[in-house]
Amino acid sequence: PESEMAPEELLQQAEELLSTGRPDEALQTAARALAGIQPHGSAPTLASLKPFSLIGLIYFYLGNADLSRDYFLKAVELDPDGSIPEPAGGGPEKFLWLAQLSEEGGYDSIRWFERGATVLRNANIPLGDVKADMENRTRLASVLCSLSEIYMTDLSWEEDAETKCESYVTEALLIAPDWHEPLQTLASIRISQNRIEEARKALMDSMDLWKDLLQEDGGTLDFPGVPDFSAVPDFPARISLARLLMEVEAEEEALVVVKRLVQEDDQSVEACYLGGWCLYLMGQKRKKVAEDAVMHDETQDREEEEEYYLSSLKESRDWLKACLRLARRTNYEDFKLREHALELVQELDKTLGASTVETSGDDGDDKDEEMREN
Amino acid sequence: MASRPTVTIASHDGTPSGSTHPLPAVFKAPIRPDIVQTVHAGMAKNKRQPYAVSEKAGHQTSAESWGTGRAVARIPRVSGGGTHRAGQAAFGNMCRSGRMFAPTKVWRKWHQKINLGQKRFATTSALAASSVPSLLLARGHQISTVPEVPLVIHSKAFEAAAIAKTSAALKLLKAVGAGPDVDKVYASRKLRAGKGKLRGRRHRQRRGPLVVYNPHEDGKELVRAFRNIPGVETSSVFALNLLQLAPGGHLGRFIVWTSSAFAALDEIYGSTTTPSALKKDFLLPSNIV
Repeated sequence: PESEMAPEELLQQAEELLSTGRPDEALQTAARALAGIQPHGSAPTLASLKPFSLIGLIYFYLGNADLSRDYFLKAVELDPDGSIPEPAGGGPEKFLWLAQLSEEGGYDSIRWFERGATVLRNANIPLGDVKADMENRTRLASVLCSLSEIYMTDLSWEEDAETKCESYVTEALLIAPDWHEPLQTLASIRISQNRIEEARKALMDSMDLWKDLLQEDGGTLDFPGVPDFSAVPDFPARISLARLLMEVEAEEEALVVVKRLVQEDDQSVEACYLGGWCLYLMGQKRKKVAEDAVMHDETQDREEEEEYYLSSLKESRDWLKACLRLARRTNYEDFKLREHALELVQELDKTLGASTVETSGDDGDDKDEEMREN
Repeated sequence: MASRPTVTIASHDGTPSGSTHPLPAVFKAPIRPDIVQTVHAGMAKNKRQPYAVSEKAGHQTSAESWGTGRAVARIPRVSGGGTHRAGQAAFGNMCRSGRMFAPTKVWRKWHQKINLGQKRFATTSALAASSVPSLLLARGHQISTVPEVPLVIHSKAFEAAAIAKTSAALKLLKAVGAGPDVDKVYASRKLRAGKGKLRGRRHRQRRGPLVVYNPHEDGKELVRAFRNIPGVETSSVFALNLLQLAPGGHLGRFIVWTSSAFAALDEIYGSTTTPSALKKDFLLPSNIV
């Protein structure tokens, strides 16, 4: 019975509950563990570190940023330099969460990320442990890319923003040369510097590292049904990738990335928006080709090109309408995205004539949506 | 130990073969729809969590945020000449005016261990969901003509590459009651005019059944046979992945099992008390009280 379970067992149970989508129960169990370790009114000892770290994470899953931060901060007090081993609740994770959860962002995030980076830079990886080494290097690279991103966003107007970005991404590239993240981040920096060809190259190099792993029947390396995704960017990173590819005018590649995202999650407002916008851009390019064919009086080509570009625009409109439907249904907060999608749809309605029938036969989609609402 | 329900195994013509198999433990794993979404989208969609904003194009914490997906006309450079490096504020300037999308902070998961556990759980959850008829119906599968779910066909039907042609594959699916689900996919596809460039698929394709086989016993010829049937996918039982089990992030894929694939499930996924043979320390999640 749970009342007799040792705190360590309770913590393990809490982790299991979190892994299986039961954060409320995970919280109760972890709280019980903490009560066992740190009786009410007593001061925290190192034994409280693991429950603090876990509860911080659980609160994140529960959507409570404030409490999440509180517990990660408690953990920091007990392990301020992250030198306590991770199995005991120590390590760099709490700093990284605090950086990411920071309401202030900017320099506050920078400070937390730097603390995490220090832990990772100083980690003593046993010689010959290839897996641990890879994990350490990719984590550190991830932190460095995150730091770079702060200078691309919150701190982009600082005098040394560009220098900092370069310095962080260079370190990341040195540490993890065969990993997608530094290359993708590099591409973003290059776009900001208007060095588009270099950006394009970095993106292609980045994708080359993992695109074969995305085969639909690619299976497990570690567990049936769980592909070794550490080598593949996860969903938000691939959303970012799709944007970057569009920025360097690699629309075909962007569409491939987006189509895969939609296969994984067809309720993503972002993915539908990017797919629609991407098809719109492709349609406009094809329209230009069609118009050039007219100029050269190549009538046969012109008809084909015209149908081609019209079909792209029609598909674009379908995606954008799906995006708007999803955004309405989920109360998606980014109104600028919604406004832009609407603007495009209105323009497409003018070009194509307003349609009453969805060209992609969305009845089934609506049915899916209905079912999901139940 | 509670006895497990048994599943009837159909023969190639849809009639019961006489054999049965106890329902593998993985089908009793807990079903939790949101875990699939969580794995796919990294909690970016849960409205309770404000950090989802990191994923949204154009969101910035700074006041300089300028918007989403718009190619803004380049604003004139600050004084200092014509190169993009002119002036210290050039970098911020470029972010602001020169890009199609404002740079964003990418959302990252720093908790690897939990993450891996979630992925495993999502897979077993999706498998369990495939055995629940109401979920398959909710997902849009036409299964009213299917005698039993899970649907298992005796591997004898695939012996000696018996199913090597598309016509044989289609005949088999029809015989076991999966015809309507296949037809549904046919009906939803719009045929494009026959011009080369107009190939290209719609972004959301109706999914038909997933045929799961055991390559060691069923061979691989069947893959080719099923491949040309629109909406039908195949997978080795050793390589099942979330994309096929929960396409689009929705639980409830209609699966057609060969009996040898079905039989392999206990070995692959283990049970709540016997660890999986292929992953020593993994126990199926039970409904912890």
